[in-house]
Amino acid sequence: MDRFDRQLRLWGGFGHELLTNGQICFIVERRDDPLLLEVQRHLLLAGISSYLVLHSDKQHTPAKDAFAFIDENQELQALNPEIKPQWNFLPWSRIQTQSFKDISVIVLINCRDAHMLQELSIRREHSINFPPVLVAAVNYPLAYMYLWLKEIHFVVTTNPEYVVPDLRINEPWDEVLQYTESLDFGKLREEELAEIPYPLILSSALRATSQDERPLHQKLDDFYLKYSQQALNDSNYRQAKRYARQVSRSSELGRQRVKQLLNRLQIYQRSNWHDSFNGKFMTLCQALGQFLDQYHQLPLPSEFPDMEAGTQIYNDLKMIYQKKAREDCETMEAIVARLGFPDFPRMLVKKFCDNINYWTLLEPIVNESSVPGIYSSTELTRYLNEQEVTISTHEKKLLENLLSLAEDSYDSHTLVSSFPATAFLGGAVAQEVVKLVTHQYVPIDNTFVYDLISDESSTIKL
Amino acid sequence: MGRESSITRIVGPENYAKLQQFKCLIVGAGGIGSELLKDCILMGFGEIHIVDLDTIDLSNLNRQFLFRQKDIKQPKSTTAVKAVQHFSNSKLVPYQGNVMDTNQFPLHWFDQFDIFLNGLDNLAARRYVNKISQFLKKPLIESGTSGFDGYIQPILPGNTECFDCTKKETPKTFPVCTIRSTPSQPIHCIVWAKNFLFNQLFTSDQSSTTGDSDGNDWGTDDKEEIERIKQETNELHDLQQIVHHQDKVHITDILKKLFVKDIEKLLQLDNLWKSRAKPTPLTDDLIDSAKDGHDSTDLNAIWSLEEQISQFINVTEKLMDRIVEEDYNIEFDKDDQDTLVFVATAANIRSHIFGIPIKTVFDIKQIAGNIIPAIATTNAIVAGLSTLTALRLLNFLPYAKTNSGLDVNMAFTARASNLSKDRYLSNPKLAPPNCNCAVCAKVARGVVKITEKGLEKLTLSQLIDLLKKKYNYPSETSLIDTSDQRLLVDFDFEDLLDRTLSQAKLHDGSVILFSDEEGDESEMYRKPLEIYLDVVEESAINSEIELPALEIPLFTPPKQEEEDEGKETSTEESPEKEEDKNGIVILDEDEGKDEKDGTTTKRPRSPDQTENDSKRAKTSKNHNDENGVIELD
Repeated sequence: MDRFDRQLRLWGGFGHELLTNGQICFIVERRDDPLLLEVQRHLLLAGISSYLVLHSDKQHTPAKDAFAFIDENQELQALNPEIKPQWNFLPWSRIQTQSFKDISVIVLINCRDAHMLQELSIRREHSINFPPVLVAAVNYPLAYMYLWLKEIHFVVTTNPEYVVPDLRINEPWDEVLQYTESLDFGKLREEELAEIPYPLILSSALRATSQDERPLHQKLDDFYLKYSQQALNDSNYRQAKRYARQVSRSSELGRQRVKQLLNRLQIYQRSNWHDSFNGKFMTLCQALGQFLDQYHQLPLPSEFPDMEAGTQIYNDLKMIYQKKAREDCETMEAIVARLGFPDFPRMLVKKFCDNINYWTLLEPIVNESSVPGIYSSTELTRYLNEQEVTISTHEKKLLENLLSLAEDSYDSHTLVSSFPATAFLGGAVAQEVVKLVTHQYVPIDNTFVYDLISDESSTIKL
Repeated sequence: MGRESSITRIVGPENYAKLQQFKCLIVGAGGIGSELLKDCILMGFGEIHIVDLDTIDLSNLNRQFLFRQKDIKQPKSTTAVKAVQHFSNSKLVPYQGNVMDTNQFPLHWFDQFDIFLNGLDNLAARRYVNKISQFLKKPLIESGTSGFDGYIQPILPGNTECFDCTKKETPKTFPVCTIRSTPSQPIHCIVWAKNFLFNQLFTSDQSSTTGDSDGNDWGTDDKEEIERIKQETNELHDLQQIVHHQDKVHITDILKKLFVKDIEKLLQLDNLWKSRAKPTPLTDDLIDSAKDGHDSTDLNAIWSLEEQISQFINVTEKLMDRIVEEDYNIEFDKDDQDTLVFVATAANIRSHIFGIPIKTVFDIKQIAGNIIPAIATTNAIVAGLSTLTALRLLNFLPYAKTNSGLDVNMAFTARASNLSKDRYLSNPKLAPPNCNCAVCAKVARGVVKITEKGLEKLTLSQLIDLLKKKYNYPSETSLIDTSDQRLLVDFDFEDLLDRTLSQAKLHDGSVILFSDEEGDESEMYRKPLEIYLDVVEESAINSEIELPALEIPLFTPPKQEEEDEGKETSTEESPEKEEDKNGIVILDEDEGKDEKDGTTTKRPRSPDQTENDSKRAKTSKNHNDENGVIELD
């Protein structure tokens, strides 16, 4: 695993397994396309081993002095030999008969051939399920990508940079209450008080000062300093003061956020999913809805953060939290079983509960056009008209450029690689594929355009 | 369409011809460096030089696409060049070496390049190349990545902000006493195990350990405590003997000394435990009984105390087996599992004693190795932007002329975790130099050419006179060697005046700082002058020394308060991550980057917190020095 050490720190064993089992379909004009090569090598390095390449039926003579910095046959294999990569090459004429059911993501690279697009769109329209399609091209002076979703895409965790631990301090359950009551601050010596973890200080303060209407951080000193003169020098109390502001809102905000996400899911009642992971996640969301109705709480995540405290009391408190987290997780499992999934993977329920504050979703577009939005002049014009007032001049210019490309009659020779824009976009596209396959981090929803001459970019939802 | 026509379309035929004459230097052949190398070749630079100090490691292979399994332990720079030769039309020159080594890479060597592209992984080298670019007034593109996030910063000396114009995240430092006597966080125990214990037992050169030499920041004035720390270090030499003699039977003695006796001694210092929880030493019995315990091999699991002890014993045996073969010198390496497990178990046992949460080996690896998660995709994004921006900086884009460096953008990729709220790529315009920047704005710079003979003959006093005369400095001045901040001459230190430059240990590549210490009637001072000593052949200059033609401006020194303004900030989302006043810096801190990309909002420290901290500073005698001494590298 040492080879993957650095990336495991980003998406974990969970993400790595999804990558290992992932299958990517590339649709390209020609097999030596430099953007294909860039995306391909990144995905190999990330650990994806299975590829289907759909290429034009035309025979292309290899370009002289092209961008092929890696020999497509031998060297790609050697990039990551342990995963034993495999390729399957087929011409476009096979799109109609191709089943895409095992494909994680389709990446459409540097091709806008009208016939091929039509074939793909028809195939997609006639399928109940279809993988996400990522459209990417470098078309001088623009480099762009567009995500074309057929079904919801769930993100298990956005992996936020900063997190506020979810400790439910203002909504304590019985065990926490009993434990808090067992502590009599008045009888503890100063050094014993210096060992109390901050959640216990804050929950005691909340209960003892419930008549006082000031916010917690303003009344905390009045409550606590009478027990310990030294407290302002104690690291545990300093932590308590830092977190005092967040206590009153964090649980409610978490619930609100989750309720909004669940509401957005109301209209997607389906049992048939392309991505089995999305299907499982939908089940978890249904279970979560029932959990919320019943307990008016989210399941407690099992992570209990480090904090300034005495060993014994820290461990006691950690046990109480982890017990509750385990019970909540078991309750969720029971609900999932009642929904008809008795053998649901336990690991996934736990992962879901642990990230209960960090999951999110991307939705497909309801009235979509028959081709990917970025290639539809109708869609682009509609967006430009609707957003006319709000978009900046540079964004407007970018989109007009995009529109004129969409309106141009298509000729495969106008798609020119423009290094290093190709290198840049290759990295960005592979990154989006990794986000989609690992169901972690938030993919671009749904359009990114970069102008290599003006150095301007725009991220919009078409 | 071939490469040439594609580039010509972007830059035009004339610029393409120029580009083919241009030389660029890529500093670093790692993640970003290998991408830069490929991009520069495909873009058609005439000559590309690439420098890297390192050799290839297994954990590089997930992103450094030019390297294969068979290349492990080979030098990065030469291997990279071999791998790209087959598609290159550029002349490629690799170097294995440290870019900061002035013997291998003197200033005039840097002078041959038209642009520098950084693909570095450490602050010291970034600062160094930045300084070189300032001396030579040549463009530099600085870049970096961490996980899904990356940035580039183009630097046009004199015209735009330099790398040091904004505050950078500095290495985390801790006062000695926090590490040696009163740890309160996992990181303190990890630093103890890695920088102190491991080095004492297994490394031959111990000059870089936790430095209990005098003159360091102890973080305490308690004589008794300092004495104890020094004594403890001396006693460790006995433990080192156990290791050197491969005396496996006595490994438990090491444990008993570190985790029983030393802790008991610590407990005798009452002063330490007045406002802290006391540590609980292990017992001899526990150590003896854990000795034959079961071993967990799961590096992702939290091991029990018994497992930690038994693993500590096992791994120490392994390291003993290795130490003779390895010439009594094993260095900590995050990817060397024996050294990692040793540090992890020792840190965890110490954590247990001090009531600090225990970590998994996987997590400790990240902290001890200072690992920044890295992936190929972000490196490619950043390198692509970097080479595109090189065209802009060199003014090669006919449709987008850059009239000034301020027309160029820097770029940040949005944090992948909050994309829905943000643009994917933000590219703010570059700012002009920060007038308070000690690197680019507050000093004047010049290269002094001097012959070998000149170094031998010329005295410091003569050099100072030459400088005063040439640049109109007043009579009171000072001269400092910036490599170690060594004072050479000032108004009340004149002992070295008659030494020659070489006697004063100045050499090719020395950088000295010449300052006005007097000012004129209206309190105006000459700007300090930073001088690079470039030793040249006698034929290259007319006399032994040649001073550059420079106008040194006058300035009024700013008031102290202005400089301190705005230092006290913290991030709203992360109360945990703010810097503690007593020099303890929490590891996750990421201020340098946040400052620039503006994706996190900053607010001044809230009034109650400031008050809180100042009260503490008054009542607490401990850790009152802001400068810590133990660096986590």
